[in-house]
Amino acid sequence: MRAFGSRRMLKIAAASLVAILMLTSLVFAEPLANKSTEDSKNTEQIAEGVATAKIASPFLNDGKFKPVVESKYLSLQVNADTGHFIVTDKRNGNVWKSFPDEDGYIDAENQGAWKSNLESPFMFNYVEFNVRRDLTKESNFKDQGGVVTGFEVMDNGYRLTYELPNLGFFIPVEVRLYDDYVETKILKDGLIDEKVFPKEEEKSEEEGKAEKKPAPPKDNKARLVSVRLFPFLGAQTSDREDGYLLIPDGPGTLIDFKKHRGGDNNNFYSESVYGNDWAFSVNNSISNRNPVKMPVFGIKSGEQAILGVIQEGAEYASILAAPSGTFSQYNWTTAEQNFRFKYYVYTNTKKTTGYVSYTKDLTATDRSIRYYLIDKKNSDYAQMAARYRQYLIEDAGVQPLKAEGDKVPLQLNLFGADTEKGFLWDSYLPLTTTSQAREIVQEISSLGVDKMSITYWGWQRKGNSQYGGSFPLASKFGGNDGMKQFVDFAHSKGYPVYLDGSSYTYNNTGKDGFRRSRDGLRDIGSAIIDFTSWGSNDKTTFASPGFMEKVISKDLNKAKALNVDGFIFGQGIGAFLNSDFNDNYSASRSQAEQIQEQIFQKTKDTLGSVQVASGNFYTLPYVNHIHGLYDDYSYDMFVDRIIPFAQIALHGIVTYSADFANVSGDYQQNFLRGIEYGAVPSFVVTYAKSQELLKSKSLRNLYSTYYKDWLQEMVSQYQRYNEALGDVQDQFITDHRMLAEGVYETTYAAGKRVIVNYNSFPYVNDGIAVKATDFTVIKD
Amino acid sequence: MIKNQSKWMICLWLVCLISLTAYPMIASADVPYTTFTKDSYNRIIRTQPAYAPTGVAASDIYIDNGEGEKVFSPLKSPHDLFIDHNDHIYIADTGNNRIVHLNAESEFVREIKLPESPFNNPQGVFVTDNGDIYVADTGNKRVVKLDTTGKLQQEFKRPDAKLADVSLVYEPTNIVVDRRGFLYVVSTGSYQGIVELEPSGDFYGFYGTNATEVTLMDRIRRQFYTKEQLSRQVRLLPTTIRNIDIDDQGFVYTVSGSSKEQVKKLNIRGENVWKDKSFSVGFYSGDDDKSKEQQLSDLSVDRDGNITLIDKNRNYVSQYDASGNLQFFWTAPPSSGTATLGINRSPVAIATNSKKELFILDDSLNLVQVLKPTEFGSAIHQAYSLTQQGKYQESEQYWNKVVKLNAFFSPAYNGMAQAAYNREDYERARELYKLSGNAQGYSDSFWQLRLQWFQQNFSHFANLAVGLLIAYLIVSIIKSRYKLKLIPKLKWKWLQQSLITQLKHSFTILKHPIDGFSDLRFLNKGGYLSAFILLAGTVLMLLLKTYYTGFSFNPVPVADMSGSYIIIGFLVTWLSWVVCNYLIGSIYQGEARFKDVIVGGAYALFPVILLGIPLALISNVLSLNEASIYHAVELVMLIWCGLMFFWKIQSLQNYSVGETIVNILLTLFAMIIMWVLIFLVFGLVSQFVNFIRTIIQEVSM
Repeated sequence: MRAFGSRRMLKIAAASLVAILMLTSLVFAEPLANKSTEDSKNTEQIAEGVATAKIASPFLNDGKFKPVVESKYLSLQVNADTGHFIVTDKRNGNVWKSFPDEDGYIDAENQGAWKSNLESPFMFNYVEFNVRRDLTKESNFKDQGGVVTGFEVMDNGYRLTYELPNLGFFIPVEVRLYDDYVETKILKDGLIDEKVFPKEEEKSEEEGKAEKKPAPPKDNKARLVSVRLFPFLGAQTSDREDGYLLIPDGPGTLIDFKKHRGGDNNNFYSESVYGNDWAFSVNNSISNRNPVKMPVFGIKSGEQAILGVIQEGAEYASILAAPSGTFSQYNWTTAEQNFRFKYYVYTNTKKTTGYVSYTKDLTATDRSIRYYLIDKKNSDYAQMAARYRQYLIEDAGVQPLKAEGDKVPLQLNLFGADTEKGFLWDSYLPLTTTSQAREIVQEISSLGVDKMSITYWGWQRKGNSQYGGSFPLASKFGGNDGMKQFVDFAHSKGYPVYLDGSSYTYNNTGKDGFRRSRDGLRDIGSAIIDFTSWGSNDKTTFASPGFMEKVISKDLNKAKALNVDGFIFGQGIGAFLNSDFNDNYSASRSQAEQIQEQIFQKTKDTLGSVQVASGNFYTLPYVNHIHGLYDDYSYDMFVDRIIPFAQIALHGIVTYSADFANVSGDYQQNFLRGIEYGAVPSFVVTYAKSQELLKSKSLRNLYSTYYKDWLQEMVSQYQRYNEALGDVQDQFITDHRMLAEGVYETTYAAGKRVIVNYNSFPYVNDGIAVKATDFTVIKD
Repeated sequence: MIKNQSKWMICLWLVCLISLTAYPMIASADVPYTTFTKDSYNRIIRTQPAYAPTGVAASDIYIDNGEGEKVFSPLKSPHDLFIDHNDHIYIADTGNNRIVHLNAESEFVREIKLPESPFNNPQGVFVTDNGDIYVADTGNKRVVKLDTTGKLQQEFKRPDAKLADVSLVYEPTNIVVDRRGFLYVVSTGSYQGIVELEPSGDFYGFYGTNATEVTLMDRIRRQFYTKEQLSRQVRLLPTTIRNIDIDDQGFVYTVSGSSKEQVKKLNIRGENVWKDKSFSVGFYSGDDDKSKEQQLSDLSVDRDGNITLIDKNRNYVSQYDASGNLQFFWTAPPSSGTATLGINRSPVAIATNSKKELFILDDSLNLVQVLKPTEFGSAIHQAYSLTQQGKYQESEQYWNKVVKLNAFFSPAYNGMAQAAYNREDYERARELYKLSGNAQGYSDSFWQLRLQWFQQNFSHFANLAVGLLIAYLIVSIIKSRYKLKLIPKLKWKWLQQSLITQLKHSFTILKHPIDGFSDLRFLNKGGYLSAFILLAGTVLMLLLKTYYTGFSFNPVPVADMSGSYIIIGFLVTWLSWVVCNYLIGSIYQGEARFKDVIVGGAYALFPVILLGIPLALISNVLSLNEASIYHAVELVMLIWCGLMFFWKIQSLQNYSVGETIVNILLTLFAMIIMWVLIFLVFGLVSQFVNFIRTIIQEVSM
């Protein structure tokens, strides 16, 4: 007891000391800042000398936080000296702080710069063009001796400018409080990152040298690269091991708060939202991870949870997460806003030599993040996903799904044709002609599959790997007439037919009026982006988004004449997001996103509907189905659990399928995941035997597509999917949890529960029995 | 340095793009590595994963610190991993001077520290079926034998110096123990091979010593250096053995850093059963870092005899069947820092348990990665294993499953073909062998089919032969009696025309080469047009021959036979021959004009036109058993063609035999020089152009 008491006393004493020092450091800019850290080091030593190694954290709520505004459910307190805030949820008393939680803080475990990082309201990276143009320096508000100026309370929040006098940076920030969320925003107006060095001073510099006067500071041309605003909002130590970080990898993954982790302690998640931008050919590092499709992140600690959604500037943001032990003692996740980008400046035409640099110009757009405070007392990722779903419907304009019957459709993907490498010349390799397609559909339909959605791939005039000049369709394939007849036939059975439109991303034929030098996507160095695929010499060029839009607009009417129900886009339209530095079509990343959305909108308007493959979530308002929605993660070792975050958010507002079952890595796993995640069965088949595909130039990873090989599986999956999900197609997923190792339960709005057992042995508990590698359905 | 790195990143980035786009449709959120196999044409092809990562082991070891508290105690640069027959896992935790024991569920059981005689950097561990634990206690230069409870039973110190080589360094790094209780000890840098000890600890002999690798330079040195110089040279020593394993039958497997016989399967006498096999060679995944050399670090044999190899330097894991044939290998592009499940950073040891799960120990991550076979992987294991045992019929269902999962996995067709052949369905076997690219198998099934065909149709053949005989007799009787001309002499007008005469002359040349070639020039029996026709005919014939040659003799898939390469290769060679031959002739007292060289060069190719098609045709009815016939005809064709060229030169240039030979040799030499020059000029010009371009670019920037 006595020991505890003295420890607490010491805690308070040390904390107040640090707080006072912090204050002085803020008032007397830099010269004193150094001193203050020295002083605090001294206090550390004293503290360590006197009692245990544990001393108080520097983030104690020291009474400087003043209430400013309240909203329906929340109230906000702010510290005007630092801009830090505390939000209290009036519904349940949950408290969220824009700085790390002091609980479990051990001073010795947070070393060096990270100590001041933890205290600062923001961290940032900058580059000094006159020193090293390829390297960034990481710093923070505190180490730079930053000050808050222009603090101003608004009717629903406050506004201030962070000023870094040494570097001459001014970063205006707004924090606003809404019904159940806080929005933090970096404003583009007033964002300055150039220190003005007066001309006279430069002159006097030269003179000064001659007269041997002390030289005035040199202009290092320090420029802002990125900002992490309130990076440690909700950050927690792993002391209690009662929370997790949510990162948007694959379907969503969790990093548990853990005191000890095996492996090396280099566990850092950092991925740009919507994947790399190819126009900046050297992005920070080459990532083998899945690209981020949804701009969200989250933290659950103890009984409370918060969900971060990047509202504005998602295309320029990265999502970061680090579990405790990596840099500091804290588990934290945040979004980093990037303002300058690394790229490779070529110095020769062959693109073999050059150097790395950051872009000269600042990409100035507003950057805002919303932090949704989850209402429930004991909230979990299912509630976080539910809040995201609400956001999608209310703020992003996504329409909830209307139930059409009580059957889950079978996604039947037919593969049309490709090019065959020949003895003397390459030739057209038909794999499923339109009349053969009719035969396949007829056969599957006769086996009892009465709801189907058909997608035709490789239908273009010259087959899958020849991009450009899609219409008119090849006569060997059945021609336009054949396709129309097939579509009419499918419609007569009630099956919609979609055509793959992702091929408009590329061009290697020069058709459609494409000229490589005029219409190709160009990177920042004005080099055209193209690639050579495996085992061929043909160059395939990425088309400029502007060019794609032109061609698609023209082809939409041709597609309409075939009566097809829509296009399914993907790749350069909805999945990859690239800036374009081609002067004819130039588009920033945001503009490219708009062009993509226009394509989706126009297609939807002309053909009636549109779908996407592995699409970024900004396509959600347009599509009625997502192909290839990730159901597996990137296998980071620090990830502890994989959860259907995206699926919980999407079920009931759009249908989705994962990999094609027949060519997925593991058929059984794919099926069970599909059931657990509420997906739709999906197969890709050809009329030609699978070995025929080996002749083709591009289809070597469609391992097995002969439709007769998979008839039985298609029918049985259709039946089994319907058994589990047929009547809950339009219902939201309300809960998802692990019952035992390898056993998961998904609950739907009306109370239906689907329990999936991945194990090779049966699961029996609470009167629920699930066979090995099987599932069971419980209706309330 | 920075520049280098950037270049490397550019490459990587491109590869990423390629892999993204080469397979446009697939979302592929699969395992983090790519699995490959080689098809029967030795081409590397992608497959779905054969193993999937399931998690890690030994990453959360908590030990009792004596006060009842559990303390986190991770591995520290561990060196070895062993799985006993109960699937319990033993890890030589070198940096912590202990052996860590995990149970079959990878849960921590105990640590073995041997307090009465502590370990010092133990690098190897082995557990026998009865539970005895052997530890290679490297730092203490001994091997110790412990009982199941961890009590010291026996110490194996350096064997008696009298018996063992005096130069032997005895620092055991790994051990295996066979059924008889003999120890096979791998010692640091022991080029003498494995130290084999009797159960008592007496030295038995060296085992499985590697051969010394002698390079060509070494041989040359040995020829020319004096004894003194040689003695100053670094002594050539055999490569050392890196690691060791043993299977149920007592075969000992070793891994070495050599360029040949990287993996040895040694029988009890220490002979390598896999002399002609090579391992972990020729892998290429598209995004390799070329600067990294292979460094095999360990292997593991499972209960079916499949071996799995790990490479410490390049991130490759490869698996071979029980006869040393590649099943698959997998790899991932170098990761960008953070640890990824299923991707090794610095794998040092590998082991397999009874469920065929792989456990890979990583001394940089300080944990064990666990992988389990996928449906595809286990189907392949079963199929291979059954085929290996000769149970072709049983294996068929597994091969069918494999093919259904991946129709491109061509070794499966081989397995199915073997089954079909075995049940005497030769037609099916032939088809399947063709799919799998197995020429010998194809030829064997064809032989059987042909035999059956002959047997079935023997009566027809006999009747036909008798009929022909009778017909011949009748005709000859009629002929001799009536002196009939059965074939009237055709005397069409256009036959007289010069082109036809010129073309017909090629037959004359065949009969009388020397005179024929000189007639070409002096009687104007050949012209540019006829020469061009003959040349075109040859090209056509070469294409037809390649295309129509039977599968047994040309086991290459159609897509890989490229017509354009044949055309270009042939024409370029022929043209440079003609040019060089003319040039050499003109400075070497030859008499031929350029026209003569061209025309003669085309006429000399005539044997190819004549024999090409028949050769292709007979290749379709012959099996490899009669390969000598085919090759003999082919040889005749080539020799004939060569002789024609010889006579052409002799006749047209008016040379003696000796002069002709000299001329041919000089022509060949001139061809080499010409091509060297062409490449040189081309290279310099392109460099120059690039240089100018760069300057312009830099000035204009």
